Amino acid sequence: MESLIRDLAKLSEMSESTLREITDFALEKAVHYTNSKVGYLAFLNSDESILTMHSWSKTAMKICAIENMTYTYPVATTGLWGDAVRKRHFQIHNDYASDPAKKGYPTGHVEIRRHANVPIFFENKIVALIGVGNKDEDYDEMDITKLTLLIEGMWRHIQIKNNKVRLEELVAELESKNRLLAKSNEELMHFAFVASHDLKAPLRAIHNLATWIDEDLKDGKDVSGHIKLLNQRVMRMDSLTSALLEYSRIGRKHTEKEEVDIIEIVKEVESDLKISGSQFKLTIYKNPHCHGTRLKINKTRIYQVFSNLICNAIKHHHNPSDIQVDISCHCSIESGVLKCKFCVADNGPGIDPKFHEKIFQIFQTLKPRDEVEGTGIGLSLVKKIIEENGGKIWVESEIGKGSKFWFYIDR
Amino acid sequence: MNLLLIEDDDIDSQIFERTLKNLKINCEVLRVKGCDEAFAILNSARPKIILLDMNLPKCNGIDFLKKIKEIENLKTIPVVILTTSDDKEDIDKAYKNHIAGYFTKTFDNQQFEKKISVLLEYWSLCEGN
Repeated sequence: MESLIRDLAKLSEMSESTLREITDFALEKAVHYTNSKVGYLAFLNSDESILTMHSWSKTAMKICAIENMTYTYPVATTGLWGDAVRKRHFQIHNDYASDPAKKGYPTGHVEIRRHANVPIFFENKIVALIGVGNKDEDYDEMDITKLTLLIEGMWRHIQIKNNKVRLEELVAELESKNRLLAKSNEELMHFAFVASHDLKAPLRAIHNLATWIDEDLKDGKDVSGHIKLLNQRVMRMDSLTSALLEYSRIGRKHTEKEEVDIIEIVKEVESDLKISGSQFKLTIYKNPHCHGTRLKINKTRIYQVFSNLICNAIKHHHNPSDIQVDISCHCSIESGVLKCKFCVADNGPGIDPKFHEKIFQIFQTLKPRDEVEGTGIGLSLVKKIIEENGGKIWVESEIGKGSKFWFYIDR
Repeated sequence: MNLLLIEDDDIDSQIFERTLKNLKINCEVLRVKGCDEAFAILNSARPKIILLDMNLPKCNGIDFLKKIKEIENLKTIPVVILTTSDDKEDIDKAYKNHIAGYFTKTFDNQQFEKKISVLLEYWSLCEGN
């Protein structure tokens, strides 16, 4: 009895040990203190329907000769040992062999003569089951008490460990949510800034043009120039609001992902742009070792990525009669995982390295909108799509040397 | 009096010129569309006032302010902001970078005319710089 108390004290000090060490200790002691030959420990799932064998005592493993051991048992149909769960009470079977409820066991199973098991309750649910067998004498209530003490000591540790793990998971989840929130707040602040500039500007221009038309008509002047500008600003306002809506849609709702072939998407973008009158040459370079042109992503989104990148190459080109866009895929195996990046390269004017980060900011343009009509949303949209899909985008460029936009997407 | 107007938007620039015309103010307006162009002009010309839009391609107004306030012979030229943003944070940031005034462009053209009139009159009365 004294040594049992010592072992219970020892069990209570095992908080630094692994789950396996704790359960092994409890099970071996359960076999030992009940003078049993074999023992087992099983856990229950949350609705108490499935028993999962966690461990057998060393002694049981030594004499067991079953070839394909099963580890899960449905409570409803499993043999006599499941009674403790079904009846929600400890069980003693001192004449196991002739018990009418016995279901039998596979060949090679340890011969069971006597058996006792105890369920452990947590918040009115059975969470685990400890059982012992083949004591030379009959099992009695004292054995049940010993089993109860050991399994309860063990369960407390498992609880603490589970709580610790859960707590760590919650902290990590909270941290990641906080990061998302900070990012979203930053986006909102940035949005307020740009809305106060970029969205107001065309409206004010329209207002002024209308006033000028009114004034100049009275003076008998030609107003066709004003009307042309007025139309242009209305169109600008329209493309700004549409692009902004598009931007805000990304990541807001869960978009369906499917397996798409990047090559097909690029060809689709190319033909759509050519139909709408753009003139450019496009070449797709597919490395024969590159098997990674298939991605699991929303089709519309990846279309937007290529469409924006290719459109930019065309729109900002200094020589409209010689626009060349090269699309390539580069794959390598990194620590056993296939990594593929894509590159959209052009022979355009290039981008000064000091603007390489700025170009991805929303509403940022490098030329006055009166020179190159653009919303300043395209690249920020591309970046948002790629980042939503666990990827990254960057640019390699110098003035006079064309631009290369690189990106990868988490597969 | 000569002014440097840094404004990328053609209509905004026309608004300014029309305002001067309506006010019958006769002054030379040098207009540029961005920071680089502005610094190129400042190499040879010295305007009495710089009117600066905050939202410019490549460099924004704050970038321009930080740069000009580091150049010994240019930092004394008063820079007045002309912008669409009435965000308090933008205004604070501009004043911290030593601006001489902050005007928001509104829909009210009469109000705008009044502001420009007072601004130019005030700086034409100021000695030196």
